[in-house]
Amino acid sequence: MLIFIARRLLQAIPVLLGVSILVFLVLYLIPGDPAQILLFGSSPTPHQVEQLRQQLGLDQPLPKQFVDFLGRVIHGDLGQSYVTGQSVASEIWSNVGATFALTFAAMGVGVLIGVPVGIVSGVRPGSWLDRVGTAFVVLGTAVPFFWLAIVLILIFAVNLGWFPSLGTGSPQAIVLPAVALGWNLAAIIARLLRNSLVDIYLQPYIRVARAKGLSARAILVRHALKNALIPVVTILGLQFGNLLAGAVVIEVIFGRNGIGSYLVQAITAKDIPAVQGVVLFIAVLYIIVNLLVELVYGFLDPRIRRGWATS
Amino acid sequence: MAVLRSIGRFLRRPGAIAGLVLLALILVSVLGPVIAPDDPEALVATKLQSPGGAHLLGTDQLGRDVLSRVLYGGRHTLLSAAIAVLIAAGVGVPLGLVAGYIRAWPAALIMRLMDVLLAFPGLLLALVIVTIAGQGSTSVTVAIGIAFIPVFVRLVYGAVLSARGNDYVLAARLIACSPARIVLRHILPNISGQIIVVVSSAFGWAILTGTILNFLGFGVQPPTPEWGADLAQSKDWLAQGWWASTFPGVAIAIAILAANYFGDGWAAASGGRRRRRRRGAGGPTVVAGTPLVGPAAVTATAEEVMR
Repeated sequence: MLIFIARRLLQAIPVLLGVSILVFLVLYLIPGDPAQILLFGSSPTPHQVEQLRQQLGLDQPLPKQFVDFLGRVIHGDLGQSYVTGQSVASEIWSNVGATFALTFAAMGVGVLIGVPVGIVSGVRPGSWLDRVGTAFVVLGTAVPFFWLAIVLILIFAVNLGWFPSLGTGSPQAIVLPAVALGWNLAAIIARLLRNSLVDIYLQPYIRVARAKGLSARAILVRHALKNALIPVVTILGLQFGNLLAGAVVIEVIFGRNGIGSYLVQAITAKDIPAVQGVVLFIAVLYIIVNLLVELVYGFLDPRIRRGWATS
Repeated sequence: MAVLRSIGRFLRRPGAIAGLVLLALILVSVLGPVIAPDDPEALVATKLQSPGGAHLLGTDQLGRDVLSRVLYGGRHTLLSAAIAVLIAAGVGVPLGLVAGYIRAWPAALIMRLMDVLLAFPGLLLALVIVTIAGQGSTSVTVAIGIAFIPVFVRLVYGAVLSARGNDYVLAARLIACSPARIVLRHILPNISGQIIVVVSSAFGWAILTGTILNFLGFGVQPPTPEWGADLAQSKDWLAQGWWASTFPGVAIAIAILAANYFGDGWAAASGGRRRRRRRGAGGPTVVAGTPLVGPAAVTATAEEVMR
């Protein structure tokens, strides 16, 4: 198993390297002179441009620049924003907490709504409850989440006044954004869980459990759910990156602080170091989370663990 | 003809209705200028008139006809999504065919590159490309197209790998068909069903991502009508008039729903029996049109379809 973990870690390295190359190249793929682009908006004098070029080594050959870039990134230095004058790493650091809170709250919403709906539909496929669950899934996957956010604001903030519509301040302020962001995940989880339960209930081992007189509840909890929940764990990992990306939009709508709204400001202001920093941060995080999920997956399912030993 | 039979079966399924809805949406958008009651950019009435009367869906915060804006906005949204999918499939399918059949170093190179692209959540990749290419509706379209290339490459690569082992491929090789002929004349037609499914769900996803990028203000500039942009501009007037931002949102939802069910219906009509049994209820199998499902997750579901 250790060998497997080591191998997966090694396989992640080329991807990490590729991701950093791509992020590094962003500055050079934009048409124009990198030094001018970095100083965009500050109407620099030619002298300033030349100074920055030398300071950042922009006159060096590209591979050399990349190695320098990588060296800085590994030491946690994501460069400096020439728009705000701040270090990008510290800006990300001060914003990331709010985004994580939102992302995990959205995951919570997804699990709390998706798992019960999936179970109710999957235990009795074809029943009216299943049809209600299916309708929920259909709406959950089709309704654009940023529009849902606006509808939620209209109903619960503007009309009922239960929750604030803007800001990060009070603890209640996270409820509407988390529901808007997690709603779709709930639909995905519900669909996945329903389909795996339907498949599992046709398996011989469930028939055996029935034959020996176990209650429906015991079959569900001890036999069916154990297997059906494994794919749900995977989808949570796969969706983590998408939740982070979705948080970009949700944070803008609800006027929340976070790396998402920071990213949108950076793109609007052509603040390239900030864009590179946030993008690299999210991509690396996404890779790490997926690695962890794969390991957790093996931990949960002995069959996969055995596959690791032999591979 | 397998295709004709598929079409026959297809028409008897819910996916067919979705397809018709999609067709209707496209038709309405194409005919927008003819059927729209007003000029979408003209200030035709008092601000924020409620729906009904002279303005069926009301007027927005500037006094423009919401129905006309939704009708015109669809042209932009749907056309941009269609071009994006064309770019993604046009680049992704050939790359996938090459990587899947040739399997020498180009395969490894292409697939590693796709791994790197898939390490970014789809929306994030699109945002990066918008940063590079600059803002505007063209670069939004291109960004979405590029962001979706890896999904097509992965799908086609996997499909070609599993098709290679079939007897018909062996037979073609025995009669000395060239690799290009085998791939284009034998393998491609056999995996086209899977490609259509992904094209359809990619279309839903492209609509969503496009409206998000426009919503964030990176696409069309006012006063051009576009569903996502209209939603963004009207959202601050929610308390005074819910309709101005609600109807563009409804339009987006219907379009995505139709795209998802179209692919689903097609898969069920052209695919095997096993797929149909598993599908039943439970919503669309390929849920690409979802906000949070970027390319990575779509690949997972696309592979699910293939199994």
